[in-house]
Amino acid sequence: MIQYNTSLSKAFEEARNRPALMSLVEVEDLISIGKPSGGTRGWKGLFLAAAAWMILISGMYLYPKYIKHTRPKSDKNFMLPQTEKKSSNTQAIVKPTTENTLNEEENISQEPNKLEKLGLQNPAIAHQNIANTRANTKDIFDLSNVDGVYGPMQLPSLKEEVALKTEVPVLAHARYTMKGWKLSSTESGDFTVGIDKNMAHSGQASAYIKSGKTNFKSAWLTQQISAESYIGKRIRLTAWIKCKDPDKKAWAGLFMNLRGDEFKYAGFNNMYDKNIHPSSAGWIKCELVADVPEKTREIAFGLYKVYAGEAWIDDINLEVVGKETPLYFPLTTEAVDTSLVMTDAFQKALSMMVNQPSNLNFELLNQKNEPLHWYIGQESQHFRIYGDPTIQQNGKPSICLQSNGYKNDWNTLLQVCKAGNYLNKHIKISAWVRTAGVIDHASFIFRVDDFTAGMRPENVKEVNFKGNTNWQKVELSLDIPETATSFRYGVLLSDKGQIWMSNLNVEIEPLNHNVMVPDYFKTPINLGFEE
Amino acid sequence: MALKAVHTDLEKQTEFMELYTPLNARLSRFCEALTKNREDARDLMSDTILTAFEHFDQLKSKEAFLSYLFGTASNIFKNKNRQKKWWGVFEQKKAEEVSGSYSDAEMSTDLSLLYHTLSKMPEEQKMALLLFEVSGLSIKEICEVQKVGESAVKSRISRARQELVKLMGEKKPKLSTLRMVSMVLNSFLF
Repeated sequence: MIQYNTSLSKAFEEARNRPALMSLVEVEDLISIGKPSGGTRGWKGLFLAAAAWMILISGMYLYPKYIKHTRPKSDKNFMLPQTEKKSSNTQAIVKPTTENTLNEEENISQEPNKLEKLGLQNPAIAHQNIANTRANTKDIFDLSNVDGVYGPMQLPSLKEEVALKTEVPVLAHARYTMKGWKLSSTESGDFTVGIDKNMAHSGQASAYIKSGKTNFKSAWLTQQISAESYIGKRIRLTAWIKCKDPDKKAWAGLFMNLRGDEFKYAGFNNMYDKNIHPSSAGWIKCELVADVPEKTREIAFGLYKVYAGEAWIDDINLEVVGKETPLYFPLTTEAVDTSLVMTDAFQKALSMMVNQPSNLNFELLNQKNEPLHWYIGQESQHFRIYGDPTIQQNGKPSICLQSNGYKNDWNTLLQVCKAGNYLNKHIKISAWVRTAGVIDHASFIFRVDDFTAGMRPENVKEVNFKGNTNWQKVELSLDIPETATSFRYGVLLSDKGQIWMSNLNVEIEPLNHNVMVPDYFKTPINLGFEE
Repeated sequence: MALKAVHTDLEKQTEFMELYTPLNARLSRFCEALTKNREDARDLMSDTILTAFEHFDQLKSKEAFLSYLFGTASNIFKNKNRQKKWWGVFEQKKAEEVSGSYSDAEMSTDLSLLYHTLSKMPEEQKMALLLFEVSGLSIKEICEVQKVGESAVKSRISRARQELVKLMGEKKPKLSTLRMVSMVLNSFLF
């Protein structure tokens, strides 16, 4: 008789005590669907109902015009005259309205009388559309019972709006300020990252990830480099990590991810089995040793942090070692060794990509009133996107990304386009953007992705907004180098507020010079966090 | 004689519910352990109930209901599973669930690992073990569900236990690939 160990016995015990997925009432309802109704018997009725739904849904897809916004014919009374202003320090051109004074027009009204005031036609229908949209997402956005949430979305009053008005800055986003590194997390608002000048294993500083979350949320501070110089070699990644956590479950570790072409991965380890716990005193040396398979394109590495607390990393080193050095790179349970594996998640990522810019005017919406071919960066109950029939730019529909302001959370609404058809081209993207009640900042972003430098600042352009702004035209341009895999554009919203975009346009021009990939991304940089 | 002859619609529903009620929680646990996440498990459970109800008239005796219900669940799962290989055709819904499956705050790491390890075991062994350990069916009842003899069921359960202990003990599959994948995907998204 095989004896289970404690954790297996515990797991089976938990499995036996899981709550039922369906109540008996639900089961009864389920089997009642097939009951006779109006002279149609049982499954026949269900079949007819399903057929009717299918016809309805097919019709909506075949004739998408019937599911796009109901919008007024013209909103010219709403538009203000435009002037141009070119920014001196980047290629971004911001074209603000002459006056950013929006007065009462700017308040995003849900009332028919206010819609009339805005000069919008057919206010009753527009009002109904908004009401329907709001009703469908009411549960998602009623957060009054969630701890630490400000409560249901409320836009600031007119007086507050005036106070919030600011110049439109053009800034590099804070996420790229640590040279060579970026922070990603399962929920962005729950983690902070930075340089700690009071804590260092050697030198003057280290990098940290900090979180107050006690459930399974994770973040990782990542550097991505080209795998070119390491192909076929055995590499050793070492770093010093320190952990301070109030939670027993919390841990941190060094991670390394070998990624192949088209987002396939060749290996991954985050030291789960040798992780750094809060009880580990002081700085701990961590080490991973892996063989880099032939088809690897990119090596990503850094600090991984789970649950609450704080973790520091310093003095990272990536070196080629001899084959006599023992491997330490367990590739999780589905050991994939050196073969490259395409996972469902990466397939999803690929499936999100478009071959060419699509639905730039947001005329195609799905049944949830979300734009086709665009996606929200991370699913979050604190954000929502919707086609907004009341806010238009020159008669064109707009799409809104809205946040209820959960801590410092941020999210994106982006379209990702495969770079294949646009290599060695110069791309200029223009869009009309407006904002309301943006407490932290909102941006229009254009970014080029490639394997050699997943997140280098030169690949990103953005125009930032804050407070309330009327429609402004933004234009951003970037070169698409031969190494590019995709490029993406759309809006980012941090903290509380709303951002609309409308009427996008993509211009493609030939490129008459080579785009250089900086040498420093061929080898690791800023490993001691002194820069 | 089949139950069909005596059934009106209401009677059929009442009789079905009478037999089904004591098995609701056990079926639910079985479905969840098979599919590893609550969303898929709910789908499997609904499909099982609807299929079982649809063919309820053909059931020859009330005593066979338990094996009929769990057998239906097993068959539906096997059919669905054949279409969903890990490297199979992309399914949006499945992909969307990748990150959710293993970060269920209500599920302990031990249970996540158990489900994950079970998913790599031969299907008949895994089902026999789940029916026995999680749904609480007797060996005899499992024989009826799996339509094999007692010795075969005992052997399946025993092998499944050995395999489980081996997989959980030696490989220490602490972090599921799915959780890792969700992390990497997240990193890709922005």
